[in-house]
Amino acid sequence: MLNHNETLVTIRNLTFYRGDRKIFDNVNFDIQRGKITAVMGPSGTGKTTLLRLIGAQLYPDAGTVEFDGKNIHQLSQKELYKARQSMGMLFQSSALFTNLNTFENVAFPLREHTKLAEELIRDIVLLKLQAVGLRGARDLMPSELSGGMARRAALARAIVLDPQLIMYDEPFTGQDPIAMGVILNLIRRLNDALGMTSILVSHDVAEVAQIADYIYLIADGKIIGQGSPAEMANNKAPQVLQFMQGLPDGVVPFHYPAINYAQDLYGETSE
Amino acid sequence: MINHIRTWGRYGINICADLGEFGLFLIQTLFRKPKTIKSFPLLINELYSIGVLSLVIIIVSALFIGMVVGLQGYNTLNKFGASQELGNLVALSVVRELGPVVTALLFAGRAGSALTAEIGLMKATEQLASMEMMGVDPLWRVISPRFWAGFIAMPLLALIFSALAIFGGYLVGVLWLGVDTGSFWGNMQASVEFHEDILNGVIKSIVFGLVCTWIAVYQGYSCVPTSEGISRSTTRTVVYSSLAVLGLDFVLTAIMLGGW
Repeated sequence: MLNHNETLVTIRNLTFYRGDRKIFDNVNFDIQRGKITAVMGPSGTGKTTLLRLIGAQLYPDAGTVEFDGKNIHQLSQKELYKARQSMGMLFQSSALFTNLNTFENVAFPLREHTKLAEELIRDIVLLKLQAVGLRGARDLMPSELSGGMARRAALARAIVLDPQLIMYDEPFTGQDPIAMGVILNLIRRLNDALGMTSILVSHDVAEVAQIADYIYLIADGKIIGQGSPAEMANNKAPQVLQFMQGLPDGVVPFHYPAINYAQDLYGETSE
Repeated sequence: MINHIRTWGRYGINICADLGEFGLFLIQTLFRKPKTIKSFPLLINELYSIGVLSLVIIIVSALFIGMVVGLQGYNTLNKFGASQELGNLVALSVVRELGPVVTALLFAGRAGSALTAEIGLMKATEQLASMEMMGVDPLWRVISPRFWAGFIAMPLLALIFSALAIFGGYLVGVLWLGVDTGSFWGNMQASVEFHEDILNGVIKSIVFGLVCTWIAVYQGYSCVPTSEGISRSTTRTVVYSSLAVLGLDFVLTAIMLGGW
């Protein structure tokens, strides 16, 4: 276990239910400062839920989530909103404000939280847009951006306040190879250049292995494997092996539980 | 039997929980500390989209409703040789009842449904969640300006409706059917009381504005974030607002006429 100076986010004994379904069952995570930590796992295992728990948009049924030494779920609303200014989150859908153009979207957190002069806001926004390669698209509305461009614009908005922590929710989903390469490169570059801590939620094994410093693999509410990308690649546990190598059937079944296929097709019933 | 009791019990508890949430939502919206400099442009923006953009439907409806009341009123009053009382009839019907009620129903259909759909879509596309993650309270930034804009716009729209409906009655009664101009306006002035009629109409529209906007923003904020969920919430906004307006109109009228 790492101490508080080394970790930005410390999760202990986290249990979380969605209805009757247990999403997390007494799990622990340590998110190291300055590193890219990837959280991977099959669809529906609670990866996005974990990000929402860290951002206190959801509350755990048991356990604690500490951000920078503070229990995020015990903060007052004012303190929580203050803490969230130190977090950036890139949503799966980009979540750009559809009534604002790209420039105004990126400027939004600055206008809400600072009293900076308009010239300074302009300079900061252009710097961030330049970092994601969209300085020339500043006047475009979100509806005029491609999927990859929207993701990059949302990334510029997420980093505009220079947060300590940035959380990426499935940043590679639906991206073409060029956009994926660009985003991959941006995540690593921004993390190192701005000295941030990144949490990357994804199920794209190859891409994550390229940039992550540490990987948590979750399934069935538990952590089934953790380590550096190299350690994970050499992990021989059947569940880890199946996920890391993308095998269709194994410990995690490809098919949703159902009656026998032939019986279903021909309507045979057991006598 | 036990299962039936359990189902009804759960149903009752859910209704109570929803009503509690609905009430808490209003309190949270009302008591959000406004940041004057930042809130004012947002309020103006919403006043434009909720109020100004509703003007066309309000103006056209008001003119036609006034004309219909003028025509029906003239035909009935003429049978008793009282067609010179047309001005009273049009003004009192419009200022006391039709102005606030029809404006609220039109408002629920045009602005209320638009508010719900807009907020619901913001929720479905994670815009509200992203705002929260940026440390910006959506209740302050999104809900509060829309709520206050609806609250302010409704009485103004109702007054515009009433004025134009009276003008519609004048067009039909005086210019078309030949009622004397002097008796039309003179009788109207003599019978319409500022406190009893106009102020009570404004009070009604303030109450309707609060209720319609409250329902619309709540339905948007609490909708299931799917296309079907938004559609259901939008429908609920129009249905609940219309029923609430008609029900409250009876209660307010009874109170204002001294029946209670």
